[in-house]
Amino acid sequence: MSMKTSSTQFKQRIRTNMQDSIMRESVASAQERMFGNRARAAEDIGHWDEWRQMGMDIREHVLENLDFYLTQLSDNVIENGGHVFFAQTAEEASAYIERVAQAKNAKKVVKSKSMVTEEIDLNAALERQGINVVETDLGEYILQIDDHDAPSHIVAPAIHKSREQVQQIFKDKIGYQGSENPAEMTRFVRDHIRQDFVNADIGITGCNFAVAESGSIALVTNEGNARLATALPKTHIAVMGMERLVPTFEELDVMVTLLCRSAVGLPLTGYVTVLTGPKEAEQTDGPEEFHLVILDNGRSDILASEFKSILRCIRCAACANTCPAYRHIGGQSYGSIYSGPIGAVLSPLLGGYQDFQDLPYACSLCTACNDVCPVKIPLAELLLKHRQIIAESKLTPIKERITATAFNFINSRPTLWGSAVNMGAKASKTLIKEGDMAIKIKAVEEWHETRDLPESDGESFRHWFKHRTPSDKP
Amino acid sequence: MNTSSRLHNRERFLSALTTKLGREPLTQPSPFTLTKARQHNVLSDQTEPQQLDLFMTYIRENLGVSAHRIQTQELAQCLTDECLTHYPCAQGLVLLSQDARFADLSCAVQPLQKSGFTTTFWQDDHDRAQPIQLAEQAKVGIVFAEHALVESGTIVLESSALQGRSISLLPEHSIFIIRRSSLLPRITQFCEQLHQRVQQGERLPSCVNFISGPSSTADIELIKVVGVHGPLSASYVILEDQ
Amino acid sequence: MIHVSLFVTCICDTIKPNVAKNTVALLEILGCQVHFPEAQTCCSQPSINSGYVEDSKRSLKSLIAAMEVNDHPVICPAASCAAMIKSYPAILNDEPEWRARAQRLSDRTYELTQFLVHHLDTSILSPKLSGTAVYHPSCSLFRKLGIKDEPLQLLSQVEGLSLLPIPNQETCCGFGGTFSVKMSEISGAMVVEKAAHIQSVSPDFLIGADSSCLMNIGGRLDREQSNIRVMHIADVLMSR
Repeated sequence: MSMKTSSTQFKQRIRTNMQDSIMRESVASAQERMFGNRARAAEDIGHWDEWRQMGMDIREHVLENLDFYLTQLSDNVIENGGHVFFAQTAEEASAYIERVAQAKNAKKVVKSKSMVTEEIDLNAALERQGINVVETDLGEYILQIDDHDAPSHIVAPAIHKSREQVQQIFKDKIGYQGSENPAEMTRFVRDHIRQDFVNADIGITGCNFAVAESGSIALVTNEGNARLATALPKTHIAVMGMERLVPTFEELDVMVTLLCRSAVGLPLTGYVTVLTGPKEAEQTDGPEEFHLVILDNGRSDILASEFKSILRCIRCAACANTCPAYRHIGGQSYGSIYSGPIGAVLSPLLGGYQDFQDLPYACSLCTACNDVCPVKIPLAELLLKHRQIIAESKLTPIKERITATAFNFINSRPTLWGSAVNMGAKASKTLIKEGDMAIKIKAVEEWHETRDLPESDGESFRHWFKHRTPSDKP
Repeated sequence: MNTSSRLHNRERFLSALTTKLGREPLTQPSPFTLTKARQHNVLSDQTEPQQLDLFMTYIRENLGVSAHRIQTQELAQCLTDECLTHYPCAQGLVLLSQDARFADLSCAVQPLQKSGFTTTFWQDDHDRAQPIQLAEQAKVGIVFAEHALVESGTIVLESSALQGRSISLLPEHSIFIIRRSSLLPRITQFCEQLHQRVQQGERLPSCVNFISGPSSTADIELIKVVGVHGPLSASYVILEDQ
Repeated sequence: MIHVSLFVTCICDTIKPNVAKNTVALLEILGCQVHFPEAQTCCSQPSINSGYVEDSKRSLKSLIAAMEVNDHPVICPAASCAAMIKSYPAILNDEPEWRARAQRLSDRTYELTQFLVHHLDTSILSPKLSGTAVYHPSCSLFRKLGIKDEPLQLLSQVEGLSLLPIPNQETCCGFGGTFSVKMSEISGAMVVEKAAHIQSVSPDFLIGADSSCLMNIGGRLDREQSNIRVMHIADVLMSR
């Protein structure tokens, strides 16, 4: 899976997905549960806004001093006996990991959930080398065996599927014969991929946060798969977006607190695993070799741009869990591995406007995402910035541009505007009857699809105000 | 392997970065002070006995783990009872930590075997396959916690030669032995310790785990299922006199 | 006598003049002299939110100049338009003189309920409206401007009116300006759900402080042939 997950047009995608009643029900109920859990967790610890401010301050400080902390981090990983590869592009990162796999003569790789490895399309690269890649996060595993279905949520990637659909996939692909009970299905998968962990040559993980002062990486999971992937295989490769680090463990505390509470509404997830280098010589289990791959892939361009604040993101998906547009179209409509408000901002930055130009418009600018973001990213404002760049580079439809030009021509001329308002009031009375309009205009038709048009009384306010008599006053 | 062959592309990468930012590489970070009032405020109004009560309530209600408060001398019996509770047929292997800093688990070998369990200690030899295989076969893994965190019911483990990562990972059931004095309010206090240890030049253990309950997933319809890749269940044994 | 300027908003000017008339009436009852700077235009939200920021700057300046005929508080019966005006200084950041003028306008701009509660004595109003109502807090009102309690405080003064809570009360209705036509599928799904939540408690009234959201939800309720009466808070406060 590369970043782009679909080749159909955005509008086509949303229309198709919005007819999927199973997806819509699953997403709506998941969203409500996650939203509620997050809200409760924020309230439990109290002073949430201060926590968010700390999170934002920490992330901003790291972004300001990124080259310093990356130097410190890599020095410490080397000191601990690990390897560090700085990759400017997705291709460089994949190629390095392929080289490590070749050197280890690897046949099997177990992966724990990682967005950044999706971003660089690592599975496909390794599979081309004849390596068996097993996704071990249950959600990712479901998607992988379902012929690489696209993820629909950053944290819970298979959330668009019902239990019956999952049952069918397991039946078709791995010979499952049990019920649609999630516990029974989960147990089946546990047993089914257990040997993969034991046999794997390499474990590949992402990195929620790297700690610069010690060269450690922290993995935040619930399932225990990241622990397995980093305890049993002889080689561990962690891939991180270059911005995902904190200066010291004291900042890690705050960031992990914000992440766990925002993502799943818990004080801590089931496992927070802090790994420092390969295993010590005298230890028995744990990786003998540790590689950290630090990825740019467009991030330095973002860092130098007006979109810098998006790099504060810690991938909690609280924005998606609160977004009303995401709720109705589902994650796959975004056509990107990054969905929801964060996806709408990030995908065009990492993947270009060519493929992701529509995403910034899939937003009513309600700003609910801004309010839940644990690092206070002004997501709605960043979506507006995208719209501005798209409009000003003339990527918007010509009809829209003409309309905007005409609107601004009239709107910057008060006399003309005043007449337009008076005429508009009259015209709307004449044209709009019983919630519909006599003349067909595309924009009005779109509105009218689900809603009646408002009926007016024919006289503009300004006309009334100018001509009102004392009896009109209270 | 020497250092330089383990570090790749850093200079090119960072100079591309600083060029885009239009500035020289930094030799020092800008000043930054983390305020800590909120972190330390959590549970600060609770006395130690109250914190222990909160911990017990949290782990029972939220993590579904069974918990026992005992004296160290009762440890062997408690561990045996706990294994029997989860495996009434008393069949299967119990894997024990070799770490004897707080108590020697040898004391539990005889009662466990008497009940019908087989026991083995974590092996610190260099052949990794065999200890992992034993852990894979074991029903129960018993380890000592460095700390426990009240707010989240969390066990903190540090990997060592005597107590490998697999003991608390591969067996179906985990038993964590916790010293009462090692209870900390939240992750904050342990992170501060780690920070101080790093500042004093210590190389941290290769694996530090914060474990909050048995493994779980909610990937199917967001329904919580306990027991995915890690242990299916867990018990906590708190040594009141330590 | 308190002098105020009315910034009417284009929706109230053309389609919902009654809301504006009731706004004027309310302010006058409470002792204000209402001025209407005639050169006022649209706040440019449709254009700015569609990304045509540069093209909109002339309109912004025209509106700033129009409102400078006096320096009275500017009262606006729509939070989204008030919030837009408050974003002018940031948009004109590169032009110090205009930024300063935008800031002065922003500082004296008030959303209607905010002005009523904090600057006037509303106790002399004795509105009466009997029945049950759902109050829709618009995103611009409570999230962008932080005005949460003011409308509720005003509604609590209405004799005979009781408010009913609905699920996901604070979720956007799906209007979003040009979003409602550019992404009409998503906007439509949002308003359908909002209307369903409102219908689920069978209120007599739907009350809000933004005509745009009310036009959106009202349009859906009409389509569903609902009898729920849609009222702007100015209409409610003028009910006798």
